[in-house]
Amino acid sequence: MEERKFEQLLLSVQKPGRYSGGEDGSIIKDKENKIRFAMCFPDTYEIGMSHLGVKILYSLLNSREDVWCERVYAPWIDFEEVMIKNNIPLFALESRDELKKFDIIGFSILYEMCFTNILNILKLSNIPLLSKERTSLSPLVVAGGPCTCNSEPMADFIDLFMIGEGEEVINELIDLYKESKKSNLSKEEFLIKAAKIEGIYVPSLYEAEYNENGTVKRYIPKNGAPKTVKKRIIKNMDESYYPKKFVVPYTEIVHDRAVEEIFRGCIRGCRFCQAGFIYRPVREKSIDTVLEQSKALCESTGYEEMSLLSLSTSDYSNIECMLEKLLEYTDKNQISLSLPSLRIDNFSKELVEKVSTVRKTGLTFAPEAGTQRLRNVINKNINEEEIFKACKTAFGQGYLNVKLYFMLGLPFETDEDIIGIAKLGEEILNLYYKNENRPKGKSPSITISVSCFIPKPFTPFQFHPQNTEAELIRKQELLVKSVKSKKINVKWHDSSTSFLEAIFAKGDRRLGKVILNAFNHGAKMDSWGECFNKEIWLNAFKEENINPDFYAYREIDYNEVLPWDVIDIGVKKEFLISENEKAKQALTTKNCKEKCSDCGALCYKSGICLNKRTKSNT
Amino acid sequence: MVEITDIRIIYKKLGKMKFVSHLDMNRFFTRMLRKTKLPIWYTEGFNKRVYVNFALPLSLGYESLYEVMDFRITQNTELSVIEEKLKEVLPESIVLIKAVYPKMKSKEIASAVYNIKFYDVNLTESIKKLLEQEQLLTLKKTKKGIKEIDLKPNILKYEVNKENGNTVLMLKLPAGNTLNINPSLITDIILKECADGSNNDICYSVTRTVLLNEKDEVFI
Repeated sequence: MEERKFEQLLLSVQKPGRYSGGEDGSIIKDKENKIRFAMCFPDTYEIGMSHLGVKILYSLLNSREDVWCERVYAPWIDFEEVMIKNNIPLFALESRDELKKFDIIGFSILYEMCFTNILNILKLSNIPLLSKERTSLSPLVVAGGPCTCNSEPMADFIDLFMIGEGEEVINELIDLYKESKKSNLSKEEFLIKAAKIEGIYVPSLYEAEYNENGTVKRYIPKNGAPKTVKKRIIKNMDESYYPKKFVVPYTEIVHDRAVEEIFRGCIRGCRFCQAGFIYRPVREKSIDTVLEQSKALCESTGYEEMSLLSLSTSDYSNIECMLEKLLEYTDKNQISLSLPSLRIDNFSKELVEKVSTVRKTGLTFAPEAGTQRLRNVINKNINEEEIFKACKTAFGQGYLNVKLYFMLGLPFETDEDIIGIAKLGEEILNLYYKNENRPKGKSPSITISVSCFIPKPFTPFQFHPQNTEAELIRKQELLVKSVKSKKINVKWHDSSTSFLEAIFAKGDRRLGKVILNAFNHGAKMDSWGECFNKEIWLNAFKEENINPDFYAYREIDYNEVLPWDVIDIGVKKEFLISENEKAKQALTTKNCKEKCSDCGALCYKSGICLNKRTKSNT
Repeated sequence: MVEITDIRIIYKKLGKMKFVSHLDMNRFFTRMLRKTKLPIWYTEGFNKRVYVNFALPLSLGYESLYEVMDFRITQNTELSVIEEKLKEVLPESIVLIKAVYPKMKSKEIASAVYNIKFYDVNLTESIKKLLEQEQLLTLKKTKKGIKEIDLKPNILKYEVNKENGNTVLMLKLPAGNTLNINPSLITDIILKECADGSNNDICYSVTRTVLLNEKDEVFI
């Protein structure tokens, strides 16, 4: 299409900067003799451009001379209509070439509700949706990201999954692809070879058998594919690739700032949290690496804001020392530093003071549950005293807004626990008024944000059913009724997408036809309230004769074969079972720094697992 | 006591930068100025930010050969050094013309000249005819609501020419704080009146070429 016609069309839609490309830091290469990789994020530009994983892999792939990696995002509804009307296939932002011209199309899958967007990206590119309908080696459709730790629901559509961290395995995949392309291997021949790379899961090389009761009987590997696929990790974070430059967008995105990842994994082991298990073991970057990478990024991008990224910032070993050095640089250079994911128990006064030298916004904590008993059940090792201490500190520093995150529908939850959330909120509010130095004439506000618990694979709570929607709504209403003060504001998530998330998180490959059916009936952008249509999904289950309740509301037996048993994340199933047993008795487990609980992640021989600690005998 | 100096830069905004809105330009230049490591002046106050000020906003989708932006520096720096540092960081679609010390105030801007290229040679005669009319009535959104205005007296100057198979319309329109006429008001009429309703198929592009003061001197 002529450039001027294309530009005219762009000007007819919202935020054309999403589709124009040409941002500072975007990489243009000569197409000749390159493996062309389309890095697709199956959601809007604003969300996809904020995601660190894609930024790392984009820079990493482009650091290779033999690869040109470009970015692709899901177009918003208005531009999609324009594209269809004018026969414009979906294109990559850098070259504006359609996806069909690419060797490899890679998807980053972060959440279940983007599955239909993956199909839509393929459809808008006129590429067959089903893996078996794409017979040639290119374009090869691959995927990675946390959601692929259970890849089965997308098994019909994706040729291969990269399980775990991608920095190393993606290079090995490209090398094999390049060689296979040169020697004219068929797609089948290539996939059989790819399955031999550690961390690569090729679903078509596994045959699924089911029991009469609908559960999985077994997966039979074919053509020499491994029985289980072991998650890949980066063993040494200081030696691992990290971008020196980001693509800096012109238009506003969700997280528009420099991001420095300080460690991977989490020492805590909260029993509902998938990230807490699948990213084990904890591996930190050294202070020097953090400083060096932060400076390089700020200077190359011009960003005036930087954020440290990890699952729990304040668990970084030497956080005080690191912040002191980092703030010296950021203060001097007018960069505001934000520290997300702070924990209440090690939230010191010094830490608050350090953050507040830069910018004083609200504070956010996640007690997750309203009573100590339930907090012990979920292994959120914080107590009321610590919560109060942290809030007192915050109020003493002049903070007015406190936001608290909770979950409803946790295993072993009673109504008392829900009323406990309201009580906790009120006690925190009282703390504010007891503070004699509180600013006069200002009103505090406490926000209680509740989400619905979704049992996730590779967590001790994977065996539990989700609460029914009716039950979740009853609990939400109970919470709202229990909150008496007008200064406490309760916010909650819609429970209908949570239901679908529960199904697909623990789903098997039979769900592929449900996803396809829903997509064919118009499901897309399902994580967007204005687009999500629950009826389409319920109808898809009905038409495909699949009972959604089987996936969401069934209690799973310890002996059951699970769709994600084909993946080995290092943490052993026996450990998850023992953690669930401890949850029943409201017993907590020490964190990785205090004591090794023998979860199985030691098999990677890296990070915190190599530190000297007492080893648990249980 | 820090000595603060106003710096004005004149630049072209071309190509893909036309999709960057006025508000986004603010953030863009903030980052570019930070990247230069020049002694940039930040606003005082709670949240310090880089001070940047644009002489006249440019609509989304327009290119420009003459954009004007001011910022401040805290240490005496040669204009040539400022130019050099900026050129190092700016993308190719922002072309720096020069850095100067401001001579005029942005409220002195009185008019702007636009070049509108229609990729259709057959429009030449009909546009001429249209602009020869005594009145050109259209609806304009103002702060007080929508009102009908006559564009004809506001077209300070115009020229219609054929150029390489295209129709090029030059328009000089009032610009600035008191009265600002966006050329889209006129292109809308042209597409409606001159293109037999098939206006979707006619492509056009708008380029602002210069900003002028009351005396028709180039704004600087």
